[in-house]
Amino acid sequence: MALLLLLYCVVALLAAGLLTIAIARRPFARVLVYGTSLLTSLISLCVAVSILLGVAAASSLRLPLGLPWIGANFALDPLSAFFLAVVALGSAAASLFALGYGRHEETPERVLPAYPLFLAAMQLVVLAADAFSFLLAWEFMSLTSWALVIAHHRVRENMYAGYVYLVMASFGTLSLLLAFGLLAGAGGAYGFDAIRAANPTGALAALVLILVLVGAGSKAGLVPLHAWLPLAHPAAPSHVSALMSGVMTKVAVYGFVRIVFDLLGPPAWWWSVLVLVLAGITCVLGVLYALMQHDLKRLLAYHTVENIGIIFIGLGLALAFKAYGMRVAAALALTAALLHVLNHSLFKSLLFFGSGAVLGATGERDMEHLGGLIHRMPHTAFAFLVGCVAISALPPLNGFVSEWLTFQAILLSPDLPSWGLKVLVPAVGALLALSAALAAACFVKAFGVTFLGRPRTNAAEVATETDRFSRASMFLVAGLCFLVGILPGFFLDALAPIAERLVGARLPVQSTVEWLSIVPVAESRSSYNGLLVFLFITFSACLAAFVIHRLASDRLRRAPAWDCGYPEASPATQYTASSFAQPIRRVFGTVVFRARERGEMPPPGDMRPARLVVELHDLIWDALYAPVARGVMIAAERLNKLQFLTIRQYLSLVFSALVLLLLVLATWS
Amino acid sequence: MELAFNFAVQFAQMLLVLALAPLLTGFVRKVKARLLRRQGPPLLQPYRDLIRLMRKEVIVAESASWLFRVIPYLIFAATWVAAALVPTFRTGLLFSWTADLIAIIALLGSARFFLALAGLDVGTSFGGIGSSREVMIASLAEPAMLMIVFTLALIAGSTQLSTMAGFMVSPAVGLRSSSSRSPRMRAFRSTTPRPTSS
Repeated sequence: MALLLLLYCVVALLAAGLLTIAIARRPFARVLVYGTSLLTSLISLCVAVSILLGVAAASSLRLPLGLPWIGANFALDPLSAFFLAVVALGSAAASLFALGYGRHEETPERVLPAYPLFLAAMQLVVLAADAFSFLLAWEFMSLTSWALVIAHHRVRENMYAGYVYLVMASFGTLSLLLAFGLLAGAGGAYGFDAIRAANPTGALAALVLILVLVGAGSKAGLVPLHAWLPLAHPAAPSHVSALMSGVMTKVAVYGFVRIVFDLLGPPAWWWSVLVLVLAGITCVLGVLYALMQHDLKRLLAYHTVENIGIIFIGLGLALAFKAYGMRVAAALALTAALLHVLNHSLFKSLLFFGSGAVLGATGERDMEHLGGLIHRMPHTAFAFLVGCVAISALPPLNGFVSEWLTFQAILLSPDLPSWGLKVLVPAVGALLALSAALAAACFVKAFGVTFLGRPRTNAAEVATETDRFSRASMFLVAGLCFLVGILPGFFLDALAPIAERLVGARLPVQSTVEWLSIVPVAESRSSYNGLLVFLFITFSACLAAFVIHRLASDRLRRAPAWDCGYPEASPATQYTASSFAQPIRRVFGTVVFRARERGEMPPPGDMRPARLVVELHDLIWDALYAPVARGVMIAAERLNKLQFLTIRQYLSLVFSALVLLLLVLATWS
Repeated sequence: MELAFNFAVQFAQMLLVLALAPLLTGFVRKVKARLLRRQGPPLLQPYRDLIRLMRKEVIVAESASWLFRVIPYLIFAATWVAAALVPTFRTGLLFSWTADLIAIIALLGSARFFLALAGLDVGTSFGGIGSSREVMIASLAEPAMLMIVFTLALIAGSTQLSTMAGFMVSPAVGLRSSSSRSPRMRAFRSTTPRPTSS
């Protein structure tokens, strides 16, 4: 019943998308599309939450579509319900935001039809229960999001971003296709139930793990497969960026969790080493890349890479603990990762909405052209600040809770019997700590340069506050960030059935702990109470303000800032995003990006301005992608000769191909 | 009755930290001055400065936003809450389980985050320099701090400050030259646990 309702929602979205192709230019199309999306997302959210809370039962369904001998299978268990909730929540917020933000859209006919199709595709991926429907929905999701990435196709960069995205998405799907091919075996058992029953282990399972890591990892943005992400996510309209960064990467995480934790048999210990190493590198590199950016949306996109790293650290730990049968620890790590999935989808959506509001008000994405927006867009600035504090993992907001849980899982690592893991896991913990600290630096920069200080351009000076729908959406998501931060126990309890199903244990019930603390292992070990921390901070701040204002002086004088003796200092004398990040670039960038600075000082008498040129190299691009691209070019040039053969040569080619295939067939058995 | 006593202890602890904090600043300044062979300000100078500053009016730049007015209180509150959770003269404080050592470091991190934002708020180059350096130092210092916490937590098996403090004063830890009596160290040496009475 619940599943059927969800599928009706998906059908409604598909219908809305197809209908809109005809009427996209009409003014009511925007309200129709985003209204339908909002409504269906809210219904899906309710269904998913009711499954998670145990109100509705898990169910499965088989439709006579797709491959004739298996049909199209859909299932709704706690894991897919949780990810469906994340998808639906993100979609609802983005649709609400777009009700207002969509007015700025110059080419609605390129955005409106693809948008509901994209939402439908993401929902289908998490509902699919056989390899064929899963891959079909996955490809559909890639294709519709690609259409949204190149919505503004006249911008050259966007076309390039779309091209890179398409290549990487096909590559990722190819890996997943091979992975499912291995799982299904020669018999073609494509249903998830059949695969689960086959319980693949050993070398086969290891190969599948690597393929899934490539396939789902490239969609999620694991380093070194992240190259498309910072190009494609910012290119789309902002509410779609929010969906791609906040939600679609989570669908990729779902793919990984579903295959590795659910479909594959018991993990080997070295799987976790692979995942943890990749995740640790992803974390730190993602945030370092983000720090070097001054395009607000690209900064946020790179930050998604970092957060995917944090999620995969949790998943890797869960694999390690599961491999050694430490079920409660595995449940803790898995729960931490899943909570971070929810948290990241919340605050990343919020931040992209904020950047969209700024883009709509000023037409600028470059932070170097913004500044002082807190005076002109106070509501957006406040919501964005909440997002910044949350993503920087500062208490009492939600980002801290999931990172804290991840740290707690890391601290359980001495109980692991393997010495390699005993050394590796704390090292990954160090990387996590480093990335958390760098994230705070990154968001001081993002918020400080965009919203604080004085306006750097005229566009920033005349900006006005964004519309009601956008503000409502941002405040809603900010409120959720806050709620998860101060009452994490309820959310952890909702995740317990998933951990129970995937690793065979659950965390202790949290919502009954007195004062609503969370106690993942034992109270003597660690506990955290976001609510009390928040109340304490509020109380202390109010007390301090009261004491200062009552007992000491409360006089206030406004005066011009000290101008160092140069009156009417231009806003250009403020710190810019690049200068803010310069010390960190010098500390880390000289190695990680081979950053070089070159000052060009003209000789005395020359009137040219002095210049400072900073060179940054993307080493991963240079070392991995550039050679592959070169190889493809060379191969294409060689094969180009095939186009200019004579008819005899073509015929002999066809004949030799036939002979070769027959030979293969003959030697196959 | 016990609850009231616990409240009193907790509050006394918070007041104690608050009252002694300027003294530490004075001490650090004194030591710095002595290392440079200077006389240095008197130990109680920070108190006098604070009282003087309290009486003065607040001057805020014209381009400053509401954030600039709120941030000082937020920084004070976050730091004070962090300090309130550290057992100074008594373990097992009433609210010690509210947050563990990782959360305390994150609270101090919040204070630094807002301090850096305040530096950027007015829009002068000096504020920018200050906050840029602040976050650079923080991005190196915070992981180092967390590593120290990890080290302690891995030994003590807890990130709860009261438990850690209790473990640290127990006879089980410390330098030891010969065969140790600690069950943990014994477990380190032999993989098969010996049957012992303890």
